Amino acid sequence: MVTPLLLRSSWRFFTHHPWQLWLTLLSIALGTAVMVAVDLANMTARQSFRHSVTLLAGPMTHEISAREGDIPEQFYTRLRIDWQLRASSPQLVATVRVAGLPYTLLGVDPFAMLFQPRAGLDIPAATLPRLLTEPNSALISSELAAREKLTIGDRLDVTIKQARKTLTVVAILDVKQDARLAELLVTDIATAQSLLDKPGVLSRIQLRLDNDQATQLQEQLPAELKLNSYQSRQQSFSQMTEAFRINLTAMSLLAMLVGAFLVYNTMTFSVLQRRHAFAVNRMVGVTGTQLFRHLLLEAVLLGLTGSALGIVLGIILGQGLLVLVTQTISDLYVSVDATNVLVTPWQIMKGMGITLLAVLTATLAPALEAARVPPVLVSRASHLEHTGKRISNWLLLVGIIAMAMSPLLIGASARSLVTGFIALFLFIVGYSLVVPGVLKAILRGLLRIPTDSLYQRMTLRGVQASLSRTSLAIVALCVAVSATVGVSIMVGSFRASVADWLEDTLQSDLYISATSGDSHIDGELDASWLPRVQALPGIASISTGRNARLEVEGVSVPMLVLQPGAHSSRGFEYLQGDPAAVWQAFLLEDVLLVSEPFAYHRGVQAGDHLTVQTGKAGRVSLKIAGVYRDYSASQGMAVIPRRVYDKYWADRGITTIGLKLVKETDVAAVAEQLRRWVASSDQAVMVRSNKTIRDFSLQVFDRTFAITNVLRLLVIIVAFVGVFSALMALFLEKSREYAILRATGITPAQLRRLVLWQSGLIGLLAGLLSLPLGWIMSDILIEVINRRSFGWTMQSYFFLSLPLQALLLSVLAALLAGLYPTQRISRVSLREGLHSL
Amino acid sequence: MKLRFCLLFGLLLGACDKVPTEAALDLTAALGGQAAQGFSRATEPRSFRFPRDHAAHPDFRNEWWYITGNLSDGQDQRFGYQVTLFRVALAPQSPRSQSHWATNQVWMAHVALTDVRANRHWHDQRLARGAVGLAGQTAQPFRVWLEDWQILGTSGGEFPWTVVVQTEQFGLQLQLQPVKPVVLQGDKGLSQKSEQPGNASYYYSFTRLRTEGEILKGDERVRVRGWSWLDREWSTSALGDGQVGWDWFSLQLEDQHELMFYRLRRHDGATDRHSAGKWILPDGQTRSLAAEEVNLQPLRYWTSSSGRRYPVSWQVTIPALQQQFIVEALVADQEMATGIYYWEGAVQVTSAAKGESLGYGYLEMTGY
Amino acid sequence: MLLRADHLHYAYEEAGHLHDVLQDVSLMLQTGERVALLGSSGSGKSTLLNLLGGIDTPTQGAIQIADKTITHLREPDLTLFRRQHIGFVYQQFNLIPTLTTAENILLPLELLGFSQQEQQQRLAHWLGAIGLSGREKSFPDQLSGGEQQRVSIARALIHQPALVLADEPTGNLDAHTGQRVLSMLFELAAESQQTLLVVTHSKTVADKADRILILEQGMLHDEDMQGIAW
Repeated sequence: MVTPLLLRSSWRFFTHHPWQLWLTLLSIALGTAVMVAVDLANMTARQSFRHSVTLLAGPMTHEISAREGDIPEQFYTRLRIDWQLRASSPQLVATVRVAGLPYTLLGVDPFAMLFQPRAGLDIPAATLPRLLTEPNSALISSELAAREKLTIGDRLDVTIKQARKTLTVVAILDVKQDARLAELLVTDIATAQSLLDKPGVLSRIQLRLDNDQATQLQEQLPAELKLNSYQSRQQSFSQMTEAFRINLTAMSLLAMLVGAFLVYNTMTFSVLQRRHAFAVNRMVGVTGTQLFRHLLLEAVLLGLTGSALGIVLGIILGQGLLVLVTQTISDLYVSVDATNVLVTPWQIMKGMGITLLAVLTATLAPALEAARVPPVLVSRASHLEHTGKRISNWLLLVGIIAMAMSPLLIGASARSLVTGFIALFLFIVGYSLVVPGVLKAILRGLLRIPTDSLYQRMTLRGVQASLSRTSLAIVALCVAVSATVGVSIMVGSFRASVADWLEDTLQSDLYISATSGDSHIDGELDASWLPRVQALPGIASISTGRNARLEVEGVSVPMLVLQPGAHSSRGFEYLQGDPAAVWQAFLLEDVLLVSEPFAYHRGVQAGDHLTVQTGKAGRVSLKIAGVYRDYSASQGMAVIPRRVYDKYWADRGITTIGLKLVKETDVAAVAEQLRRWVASSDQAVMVRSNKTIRDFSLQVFDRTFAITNVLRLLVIIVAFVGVFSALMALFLEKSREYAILRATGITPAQLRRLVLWQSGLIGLLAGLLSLPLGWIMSDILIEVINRRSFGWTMQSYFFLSLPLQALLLSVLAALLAGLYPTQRISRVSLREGLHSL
Repeated sequence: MKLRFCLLFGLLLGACDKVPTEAALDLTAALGGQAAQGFSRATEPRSFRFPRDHAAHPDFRNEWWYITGNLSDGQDQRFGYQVTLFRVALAPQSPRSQSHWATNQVWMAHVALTDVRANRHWHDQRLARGAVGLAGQTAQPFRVWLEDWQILGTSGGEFPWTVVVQTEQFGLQLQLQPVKPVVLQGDKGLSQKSEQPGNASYYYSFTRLRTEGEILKGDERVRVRGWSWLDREWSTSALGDGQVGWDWFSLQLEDQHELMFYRLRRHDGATDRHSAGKWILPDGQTRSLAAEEVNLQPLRYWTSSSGRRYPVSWQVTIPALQQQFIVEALVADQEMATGIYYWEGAVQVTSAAKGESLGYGYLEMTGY
Repeated sequence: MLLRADHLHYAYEEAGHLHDVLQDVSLMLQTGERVALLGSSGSGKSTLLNLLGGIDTPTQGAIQIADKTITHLREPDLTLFRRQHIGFVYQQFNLIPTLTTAENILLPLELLGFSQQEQQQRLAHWLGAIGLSGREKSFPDQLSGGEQQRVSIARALIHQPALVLADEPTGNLDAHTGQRVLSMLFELAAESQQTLLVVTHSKTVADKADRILILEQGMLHDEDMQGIAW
């Protein structure tokens, strides 16, 4: 077993090298923190969505809604009485505004939910009489009550469509446990119908069904209605956001990988430093196995402490990341709202487990090394380099094999995102294994260059000699910097592609759009807009769009119903098919266009047929005229000609009008005129120029990648801590050597320069080596990861500033890491230096 | 008279199980007192006209169709059943709205089946608004319904009535035909509840309805016949001061007599002087019973899982009629664990002197 | 006279106690003089050497080397002085492991900015002098202890410092090797008229010296003391 004396000696070792201990703990903690933070943020966002689904559903499992428009209310009576589905609740929902902010008006039948245990909404029974009999009576959230300073009996003005209505507050719902309730105004269904001017209809009917009931109901259901289960909604959310979550997780694992390299580095280093002590231990009878176990125990203790620290850090960090994650999910997918990270014991255990595993794995090699220390005192310090050589040749081979495997894996894995990431990681790890060998070769090459400067040789030799202690730190820095390079190239290329795409897509000068607070339901422009706009002077042509959803083979995707204008040229950039022919078909035939992600995810192409659920003609098969480039909907979307839509759907609404102005017309003046109309109409309408939309879109784009930048920064920080600790430990260990140099006559300034040159060289090497990896990484990210995540392709752009940034970054990191030790060496007295060790 | 309006409001208020039942009762009293304004009130006897008065009187706040009965399969199976539809107006007028859902009428139903041989009692309840076909009533044809639970008359609004109920545990499909004329309770149908004028109800009964039909227990269908009792009452009244509950008897004796008697209990356990009853002779003639004419003596108690202690065996003594009998629950547990807890169940009547069976009936006990 | 040290005191504080290492030590070394410094362990020999070599500064007292008082010099000047005037030989050789034999030897010349030509000439001479011609590309860990110490002697002498300080140069060597290395040190120092102060335990070393100093309990006793038993 491990002896207490050994433990004590370890403890002394680390307390005598406190920097080493703290930095080791810090790199473990940071790796864990990033991983845990991402995990927490991810899970909380998902929980939040699940919660928002279950909140109003309560114990309900399914929902009936109309394929188009609303449900006739008689259907509910039939469902409940004739079909005996009594676990059902009719609802009428709409977005309204209170003091300019969007709220959801929810009309319910309180009796329908009365005997449902734990229904999402708990309407106080005492308010039922008032809710039913007082006109415009409503329940509001305690949050709204606090904000608007309302109590029971007060009046509340709301804007519904254009009209202003006054509600009477009859009860205040405590929303402490549930932030989602804060945005609700609950009324009786009769009140809602009358407020919304929608007599006779319902938005949805929630049901609690078992599988048999659901199957039977599905068969009985009239064609114009559809039945969805909440479970499938949750599943589709999970599927939808899966790519995003996997991307984040991969980023966090990269931080862990970098962290693991550092742990390996530190443990190796600490073994090297204690080689003498281990030899003495072996001499007095400690077995190799004991030393091995001892080091693993040491690693476990370090891992436990570091990960405990990391979990605390991770929870704090996760809170910050959550904001970014929910923002991105809301921008890209559906609105989620979560303010506090949920921490479960399982996640804490997972975080600690992965960290411990990484730490133990990283310690395995150095621990074996320690176990092999012969019980002989070896006075020559740089013996260490030799054992390394044999291993590094092996690593080189393994690394090359891993790198070669990566493209094979990509080729063999079709559309699997996870496999894509495994391939990426395989490549990174392979590359990392090759780096030490390459470093050695480079240094050997540099030393061959004849030089008269002893400094130069001392710098190179110093770096070369330190490789056994620093190469892993260099690898860590290299990986971190390359991740920055790779991700930057990817994001930069992506952004440039999106900008190009926006340029191509936004062909009108001005856009008039109906907005809605609820991102699921798109607003509808008042019918009076179109003739009014057409009558404006200086209009060259007009296009209209209708945002709706299309059910394609059971899955709902966003749909744009497009009435192109003369200025719409060929509409889109087509990835398949002859543009002129595609556009001709779009104008004349019963076809649709699908976006690139749609085609990718569904595995369809131009010329295929899709069966879509129409509003009034049941299922109709439409031909795909073309596949167009689109970055707006990652799950894919479809464009249908207005003509075709009018044929198969009853809806005649439009969401957007695009205006192309005659050349000399003053765009600002027209926009001004339109805004005046908007101001007088009281409908939520936005008038935006194509530039505004482009800028806004790019802003959303940047917001989407904010989290990527943060994670990238975190990876760099982890690597920095690693390089810092490795270099510092190295330089501290070399203090005796430095003292000799000082005694021989080197001035402190000269010595500082020497050390900074060395660390600068280390940084430069890491930076240079990170470039090829970064570049290849960006390629994998663009061609494999992005395609598999979102289904879109993009141009690869090269940014000259990036390699420079990368070099600067790594040199700076290394220099910073060298700064403290140099300060310290020149401060330490010569006498101490000469006698240390 | 049955003070079931309390129950009704209690249910409405107690529907959310956060509101304790006792608090609900208190609140009920308060609400009842205030909300009476604007409703019609029972201040003087009226002339009852049938079938018109079988249908609802929506200008009164409360109303119910209360059917109980004892049935048998002719062999060894006995059943008791209860089907009650309550109507409550939340306000005197229906709100003006373009929505079909807007209404001031709320409906509630309680149903129960007692299987004597199995010693089981099942019950269920429903609530719905009187709108969009979910619940309501019509006079011709006569129909009172809450979803698919309903009482149907002929197209002219007359008897026979059909009771149709289906719950998860049991079903009822029964035909009811009166064999005795209508009994107007209280003073020609005006049933005074307290001192306060207008705190009274209109109340009539059919005390003996020949009943035939089917009972469904799970998958089992049982043909049954027996006697049912109908109480119809509407009012805008509330519980009087100091009254906490009641014990209500509706007994059908084999010699073709029936007894209705309710005892209102006061806080101190004493009998309220507004307690009253009727003794119905075989030919339909009636004799009113005042509070002090009937002596009720609890003999045995049963404690329910909710902790309430109900007297499930009584000795009923009416010296003026020279009657003394024992009323005994056929099944002890016939508690209605609904929004408000009460005991409503089938009972057997035996002679106190000789112990032979005299008939069956229903007993309702509240406020325990 | 090359070196003059007057009334040197050296004390350090440990755990609140002041430990006197040297008390009022004065000495003089003549140019070309070879002196052995004897004393038991902990008598303050190494401390005295450090003071004289400008590695450490005395608590009190002054040191003058080649007419220059070094006790008041600030660190960079002290370094430059050391670089030029003093050569060190250590018990543990203290070669820079990342530099070759030649590079280790050349280090002082490089620091002093000697020309390449001069450097190569001197290197050739010194490699020959220490008998390691042909081993100039070897790294310290490829040399034996004796060879390493010879390299360190060459490094200490190559720039012809006025004062060579050796701290138990034979301490880590076997007797035979120690003897050879020591002879070499004395001979080479004599060649260039360098003043040599050797801290030692060894009688043989002391025998070679012109003068013997004995340090006992922080006090320096005069030469030729007969009472010391070897």
